[in-house]
Parts: sequence; C-alpha cells; structure tokens
Amino acid sequence: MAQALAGLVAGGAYALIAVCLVLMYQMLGVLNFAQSALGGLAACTSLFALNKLHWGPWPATMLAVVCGALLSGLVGLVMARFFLETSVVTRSTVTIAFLVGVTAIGNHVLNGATYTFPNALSGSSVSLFGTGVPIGSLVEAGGAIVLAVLVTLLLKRTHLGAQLRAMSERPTTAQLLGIRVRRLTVLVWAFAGAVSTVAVMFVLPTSTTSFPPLAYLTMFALGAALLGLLQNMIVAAVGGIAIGMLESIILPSALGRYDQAVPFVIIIVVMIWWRRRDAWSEAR
Amino acid sequence: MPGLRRVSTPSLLALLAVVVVGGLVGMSLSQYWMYVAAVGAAQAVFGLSIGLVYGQARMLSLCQVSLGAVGAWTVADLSQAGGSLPLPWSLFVGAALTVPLGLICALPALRLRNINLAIVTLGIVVAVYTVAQAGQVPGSNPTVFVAPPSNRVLFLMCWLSFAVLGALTIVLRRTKWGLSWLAIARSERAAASAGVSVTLAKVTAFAVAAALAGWAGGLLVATFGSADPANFDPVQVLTLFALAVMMGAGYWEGALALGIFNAFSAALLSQFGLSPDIGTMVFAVGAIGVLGAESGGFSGDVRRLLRRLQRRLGRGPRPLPEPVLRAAPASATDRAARAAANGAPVALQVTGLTVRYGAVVALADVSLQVHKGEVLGLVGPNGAGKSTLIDAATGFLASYEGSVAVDGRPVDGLPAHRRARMVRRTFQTERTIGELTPREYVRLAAARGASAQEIDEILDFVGCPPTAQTLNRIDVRVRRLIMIAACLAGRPSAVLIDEPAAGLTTEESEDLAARIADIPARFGSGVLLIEHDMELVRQACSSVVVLDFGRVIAHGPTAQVLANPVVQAAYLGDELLAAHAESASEQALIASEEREAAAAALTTKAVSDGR
Repeated sequence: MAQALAGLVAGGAYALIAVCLVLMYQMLGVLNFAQSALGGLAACTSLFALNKLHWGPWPATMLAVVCGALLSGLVGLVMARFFLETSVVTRSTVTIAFLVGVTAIGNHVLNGATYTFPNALSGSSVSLFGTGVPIGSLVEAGGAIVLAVLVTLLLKRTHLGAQLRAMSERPTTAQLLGIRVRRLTVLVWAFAGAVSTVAVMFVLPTSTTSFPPLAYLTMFALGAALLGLLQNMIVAAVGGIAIGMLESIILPSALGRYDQAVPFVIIIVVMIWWRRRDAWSEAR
Repeated sequence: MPGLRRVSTPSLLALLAVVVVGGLVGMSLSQYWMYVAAVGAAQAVFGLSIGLVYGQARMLSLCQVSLGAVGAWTVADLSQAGGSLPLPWSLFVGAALTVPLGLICALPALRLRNINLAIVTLGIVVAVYTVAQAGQVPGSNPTVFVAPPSNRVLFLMCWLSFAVLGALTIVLRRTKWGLSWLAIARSERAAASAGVSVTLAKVTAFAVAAALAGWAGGLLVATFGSADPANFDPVQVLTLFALAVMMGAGYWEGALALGIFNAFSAALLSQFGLSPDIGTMVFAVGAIGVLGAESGGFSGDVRRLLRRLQRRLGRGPRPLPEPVLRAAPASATDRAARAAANGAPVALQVTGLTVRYGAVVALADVSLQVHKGEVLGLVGPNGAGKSTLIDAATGFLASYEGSVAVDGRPVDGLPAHRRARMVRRTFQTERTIGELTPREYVRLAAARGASAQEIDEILDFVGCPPTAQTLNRIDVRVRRLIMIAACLAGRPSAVLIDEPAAGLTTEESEDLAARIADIPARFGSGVLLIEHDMELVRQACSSVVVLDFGRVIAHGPTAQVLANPVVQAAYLGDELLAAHAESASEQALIASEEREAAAAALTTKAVSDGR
C-alpha cells in the first residue's frame, strides 16, 4: 500500500493532464500532444522567480500558473486564427509541432543545470494505512477528481457549458449563432494551460531537472484519457491516479525497468477494443 | 509481388542527377562535413519511411523512426567487435528483422485511423524508448561498439543507400502496391470498390516502410558506432516527424531535404557555439506553417515550381479539351428492353435483403434482379434505402439478412474488394485519386490483364479524351465519368451507379444517359442506376424499381412505373411536404396516410404479380 500511495504524485499529475486532454478533445476537437510541455515551460518561470528573484514558493507557483494560462492561451490564439476550420488530424498534428518546439525551448532554458523547485505544499504529511503520505499528493489527486467533476457539471449545467458544447459540435454554426468561438477557444486553451502547469508543479520536485520527462507526462496521461474513451473526465481522472499507483507498484518488481510501458499497454488494448468495429474510414 | 507497370522516368532521372552531383560534392567535403552528410543521408532514409506511411498512404503513424531501433540493435549486435557479420551485410538482416515489428504496427492500423493511430503509435514510440534505455535487448546497450568505417566509406554507404532506396520508392509508386497506398489515402471505401484490398495495402505499406526504417537505424549505428538510445528519444522521433511534415517527405526530395536540413543545421549551429535546439524550434515553426498553408511542404513547393516552369516553357500537359457531348440515345432503351425480354441471364440477384441500423429498418425484405443487358433504375425519395442496398450488395455493410448473388453465385461471405471482381459501384461523392492521371486511375481499378488500349477505349467510351493531366486538375464532371470508367474497367457482371447526374446540365445529363444506356451492349454487364433525375432514368433505364421506406413499392417498365400516381406521390412526397410545410400540416398528414395506403396496395399487387 505504501508503494501504491507513493504513486499518487505522478498519478495526480496524469489525472489533471488527462482531464485537460479530454476537455480539449471534446470542446475543441484537438488532441493536445503539447499539453504538459506547455505546462512544463510555464513551470520553468517559477525557477526564475525562486532562484533569481528570491520569491517565496507560493508567489513563484502563482507566477508559473499565470504564465501557463498566457502561454497556452497564445497557442490557442494561433489555433483559433489559423486552424479553426481544419480537421482534428491537422490540428493535433500542429500540437505535435508545438510539442517539439516547446521541448526545444524547455531544453534550452533548463540546459542540464540543477535547480531548486518551489514546493508550496512541502513538509506536512498525514498518516494513511500506516504510512506518511505528503499532503501535497493528496491535494493533487483529490483536486484532479474534484476538477473533473466540476468541469463535467459546468459543461452540463451552465450557459457557458452549453456554448462550449455547441462550439464543439459545429464551430461555424455556433459562430453564426453569435457564440464567440475564437474567444472561447483561447479561453479553453488558457484554462487547460493553467491546470497543466499546476500538474507539472506537483511533479517537479520529484523529477530530474531535464525537460523531456515533463513533456512525456502527456503521453502517460493519454492512457488515462483513453480509459474514459476521451469522453469521460471523471473516469480519466480516476484512471490517471490508478496508472500512477500501478507504475509505482511495478517499479520494485522484475518488470520495474519497463514501468513506463504500463500506460501504453493500456492505450493499445483500449484503443483496439474501442474501435474494433471500424472497418471503414468514412461513414459512407 | 506487385506487377511493375510503368516507371516514372523524370523522377528517376532527377534523383540520379541529384545523387551524382550530391555524391561529387559530398566526396569533396572535409572529413567532418562528409560525416555530417553521411548522418543526413541516413536520416533521409528515415524520411522515406515516414513519407511512405504518412505522405503516401496518409496513415498518421508516429513510430516509423522508433521501428528503426530494431535495425539498429541488430546491426550493433551482429557487427560489434568480434561479431558474426560485417557491416554492409548486417544492414540487410536489420532491415529484414524490422519488418515483423512493422507488421505488428499494421495490425492496429487496420482498425485505427488518424488521431487514434497517432495515439497508439506514440505508445509504441515510448515503449521502444523504454526498451532502448533498459539496454537488455542484444545490441541495444550503447556500450556495444561497432568500429565505424572511414568517413569516405561511411558517406558512400549512406548516400548510395538513400539513392537506391529513394529509387525504390519512386518505382513502387507506379506498382499496384504504390497505387493502392494512394487509393486508401483518398478513401478506403473507394479503394475496396476498385478491387483494392485495404488490408493488404496497409500491411504492405507498413512492411516496406519498416524495412526502410530498419535500414536507416542500421546506418545510424554505422555512423555513431553504437545504438544510442537518444536516437529513439520520443522528442527526437517527433522532431523528425515534424520535419517530415515540413519537407513533404512523401516524395524523395522531401525526405532528402529532411535528412540534410536536420544534420547540417545541427552541425552548423554547433560550429557557431549555438544549441541544436534552435534548429528544432525552426522546424516546429516550419511544420506549423506548412500545416496552416496546406502546401505539401518543401517537395510540394518544388513540384509546383516545376509544373509552373513546364507551363512557362509550353511543355506541360495540355488542358483537357471540352468533352464532346453525344446526341440523345436513339435505340438504347429498346435494345436493353429486348435483351431483358430475350431472357438474358441474371447478373445481380438480391433476395430478401433486410438491413437494420439499431431500431431503424433501412431495408425490409427487398428482392430485385438485374439482368445482363439491361439498365434497371432504382428510384425513391431520400432515405428510402437505395444507397444502403448498394452498400449491402457490394460488401460495405457489416451484416445484413438475405442474400446477394452475382451470376448465380452467392457473394455474401466475400469482402468488398473480392466482390469488386464481379460487382462494382460508384459513389455519390467524387472519389477519384487526384495525384493520378485518368489512365493510371483506371489501370488501378482495371481487371487483371487489361491492356493499355482497352483502358483508353473505356476512357473514350465515357467521353474522357486522352490526357496527361492529373485528376486534381480535371473538372469534377469529367472525374465522375472517369469513376464510371474505372468501374467498367473491372469487367464486372453488374455495375451499380449511384446518382451520377448530380449537378449536371440538361445536355450533360442527356449525354450521360446515352452512355449509361450503352453500357450493357458494350460491356455485357447489367446496370443498376440510382438517380433522382427522372429524365435521365426515363432515357437510360428499361425498367425501374421504386423503393420507399426500405420497401419495394413498384417494379416494372420505366414509362409505366413513372406514370403511376402512387409512385409520383411517394417520390415527390418529400418535396411536396417541404413546399407546403408552413401552411398545410393537415394536408401533409392526409398525403402521408394516402401514400402509406397506396404503397400497401401496390406491394400487394407486386407480390400477386409474382415479382
């Protein structure tokens, strides 16, 4: 159990990012491969604030989250301006290019040096099943589920949710109905950017100071997002936490060397089962 | 084995020129730059692999470079100090051993497409990287060292590899395999209806691309001296993918540009003390630009430029002359009627066909016969089940009740591409392959052993003059006719034509009617024609079946059926209802009740007529 609970940090991050992935796929028709890379780049600003400006961990974290929203919003602006009418494939391929570019910037910024990361929730822990669990990871994992529930409710119950759903179905028709599609697109991107920055901030203190692992968080979160068939955020959040715990359990075993392969076995199995009837590429 | 049809000489000559000039330039470079060029040529081979799967077959596979890991590990294991096989030869083994992994990747691609395939192949990318880092597979440990040849030999090895494999991709483009990759990229349904096995197309694309990737992976070991896991780092793999998008790696010059740009930009940047990350940022922006402009990348630009140059010099393919419209059919209808009356054999027999989509019954116990030598019209309002009937007959539905037989043989168990040997269809939407000329397109769909002359004759029959223009430069009306030509080239017993006249003028529609009416006499097949243009149906069809709500409500000689007031009510029902929608909902109700009653009466009549 202690081993499983140690996976909460990574699992919570997967969960948060998975919720963002599902939100963006559902609302904007884009699978954002650059999700955690964007969050990771924004998180790097906290290093600057902490190490150069000597800010406290909380303000440094806040700065990173704001930067995450701005950076991701900027990408959203590009997407809304140039890729609103393109296919899901094209839009998602664009995010692969963003992933590559943002990772290059991230590598450049971190450049292999060692940094201290802000850890706003460090120090305190609670006892669960006889082991000390850091409060941070509980807040993170719980937060992911709460976020999934709240966003699901927001989409189902509010006017904004209705507008977003209309936009996801038919962007052009929604535009004709007076919905400000571009503004909403940027808004969703900015929101997802802020959440992924938070996710990355949670993992940073436990990860190495190199950028690519931050970018790869998205790939692990994809496994979780797929458990919810890219539709259900709550399943995605719970799935993310489960994947993190599973990885942590496998780690000390003989398969430990390949622990990172776990989400991908899940991905491949779920995808093929989900699409097993799709014999043809188009409806008719 | 794919049958070699025609080799694209200009492309091969251009490749040869670039290889000779590039080879001479490469050999005159300093040792350092010669090494960089070797790395670039090796990566260009990865470009060919990505270009084949993503550029030609349009499958969004992100794992092509990762597949190369198998080639890399094999070469490292076989050719390490004291290994069993020296370098150039181990490349062959590496490429061959990569093929099985490529085939494993092809399996998910049979059901997963687009973004879903991207997700799964990205999973494979990370899985391969995990294995590479673990270093447990023979040859995967970076400490396994392969003594690299001299830079000159290395450059020649990589450069000639690109030359030979690039030429191979050019030649493959014109084979059945290559054409089938283009076909599934355009539309899987259209490919299957042209007799192309979608499964085989995907499997061959992945197998060939895997061999290319395996070879490239082996070359990387030759250049770096070991299988460095960093080569298969997901970001590295995705960077090459982004570059492939930017350069348009579907064509050899795009693949070459990918390798050369990647290797030389990194080397140049490091010469100036700058990080190679800057180059990667440029690639990312470039890829986004290419996706936004839909320009096809570097190779797309090169080819556009060449076309423009050709036109400037007056050497380009001439624009298609206006097709000559035929006069209205004279005796076609009579001929067809005679054929049917003479008791011609049945080409297509549909018996008791029932199709359900969930609770909706799209077709309910439909039976009909298309005789050889006749054109049978299939009419009915939108949603009556006409296209569903074609889908079922040609093998595009997962399941149906009842049976379909061609020439008296049941075809129910056969997949779509196998049925296409006997029964062929066209689609309502135009689905020809833009990159091909009409001849190439018809040849792809043609039955085995069709001669060039035969293909030209079929094109002439539908009214497409000989041309070297590709289909994307030909107007949509002619393309739809060429779709029918492709259908006929398969020499099927039954031809099912789905709404060919949409958007035609009256004269064009008359011309089309004459050509369709001539099909049975000319090709000996039976024709089932779905059409809303009643004038065309009147001119081309000897008899007509009317469908409404998935049931046959009338069947008989064209004039008689079309004059039937019940048929008119059923057929025009939707439009009448729409026209009077705001004012007369009551009338509509009455009309639909009348229609149902009449339909019931007519079905009874049809059954009692012994249809």
